[in-house]
Amino acid sequence: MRILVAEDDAVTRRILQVAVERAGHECAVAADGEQAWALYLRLAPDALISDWMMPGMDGPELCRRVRSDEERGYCYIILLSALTDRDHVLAGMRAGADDYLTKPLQPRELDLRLIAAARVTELHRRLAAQRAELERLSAEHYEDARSDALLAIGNRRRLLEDLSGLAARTERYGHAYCVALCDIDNFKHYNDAFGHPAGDAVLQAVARALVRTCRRGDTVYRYGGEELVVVLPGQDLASAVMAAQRLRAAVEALAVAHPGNPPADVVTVSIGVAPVGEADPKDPAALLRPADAALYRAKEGGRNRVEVAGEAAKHHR
Amino acid sequence: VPMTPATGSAPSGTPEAGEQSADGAARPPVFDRAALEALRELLGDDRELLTGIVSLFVSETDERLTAIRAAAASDDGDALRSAAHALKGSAAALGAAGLAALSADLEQLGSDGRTEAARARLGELDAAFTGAREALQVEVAERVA
Repeated sequence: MRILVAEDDAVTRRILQVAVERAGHECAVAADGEQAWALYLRLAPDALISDWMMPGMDGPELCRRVRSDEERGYCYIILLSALTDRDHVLAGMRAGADDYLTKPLQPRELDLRLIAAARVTELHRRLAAQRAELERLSAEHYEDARSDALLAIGNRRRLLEDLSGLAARTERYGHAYCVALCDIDNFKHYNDAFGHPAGDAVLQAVARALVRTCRRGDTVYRYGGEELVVVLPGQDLASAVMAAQRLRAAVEALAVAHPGNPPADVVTVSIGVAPVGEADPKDPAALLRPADAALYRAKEGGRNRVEVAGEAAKHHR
Repeated sequence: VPMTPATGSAPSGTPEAGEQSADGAARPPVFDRAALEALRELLGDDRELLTGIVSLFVSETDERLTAIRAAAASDDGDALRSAAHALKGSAAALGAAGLAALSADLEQLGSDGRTEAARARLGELDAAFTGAREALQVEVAERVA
């Protein structure tokens, strides 16, 4: 272990240093609390052996500082005290010490303490490693649960979470935002004609086109099946409609042959655009209903077009 | 109660009335051979190390005695307590039990601000140090021989 000794008396400090080194450990020494704290920060020792009474920062204060540090691994603290200072030992343990040693130092006593210290620091090391691994797995799982494996974009769960967050912000700050609900036209025909792997490739191409075409700050999600949603924060309805037109054109420009989708005969999307207002926090999906209704009209109106919620069948072709 | 210098060869185990410290506890012997043996074991019976530590003790104690005398003379209880505390630790570490006990008394007197009472024991302190130093030098020399 790497051990730091904090002791203001030079004789005791020297004896401790020799004893620690003889026990097979690395030893750094400090003559007062301030120096010990600086060395602790630099060396991140496995164990600290600290005198109780030191000029400046004393043992208990050093204990508290070490315990409040969360950046370094666990440091096992052994407090040194005279045999007569039992009250100090109690206060020291309360300040965060793990164990104590009485002065004058007895042979074997230090060795015993250091065996316990090695065991405890090893346990803490393992715990910290396990916790880091758990956090990593949990973050990974969190990410997996919110992304679409095929399209590598956010899925329905992430969309609904993000919509709830945006709705809350809208209420608080009055930000306007819109959603564009996009559906690949006659996608079932495409799958039937070319098979699901080809259908997956079309989904990927369309998602890429949407991601490429939308502005920074806009986000594309897979809502389900062949439905994709673009969330357009901070846009009024007029600019959202222009954005949706660009998205629609970008998909058509891919020029992926789709004989089952006349009259374009290439892969196209229909888009329903809606401003999003106040949300029921328990039902963020309700936010998408106006866009869904507009999308329905776009399909009815002949597909490959943009429709706006709440407006009459005014085509934005 | 008349003060008897603790540096006298007090027989261990049977302290006399004159060798009671202020709180009534029995005075330890001038030199605690067991403590020194413990230290030897701790250091791995390394002669050079022990010699080095004894000289460190001697030079440190010289400084501490100067500090204690200055603190007692200037009625600085805090400085007295702190210097006596430090001396107590190193003296006990080397088995200089008489010196350690006397330092503990002085530490308490410093805490209580009784610097005048401390001044009355400075001679005792010097004698205790001389006794401890000689005993330690004999011990170290014995190992060399």
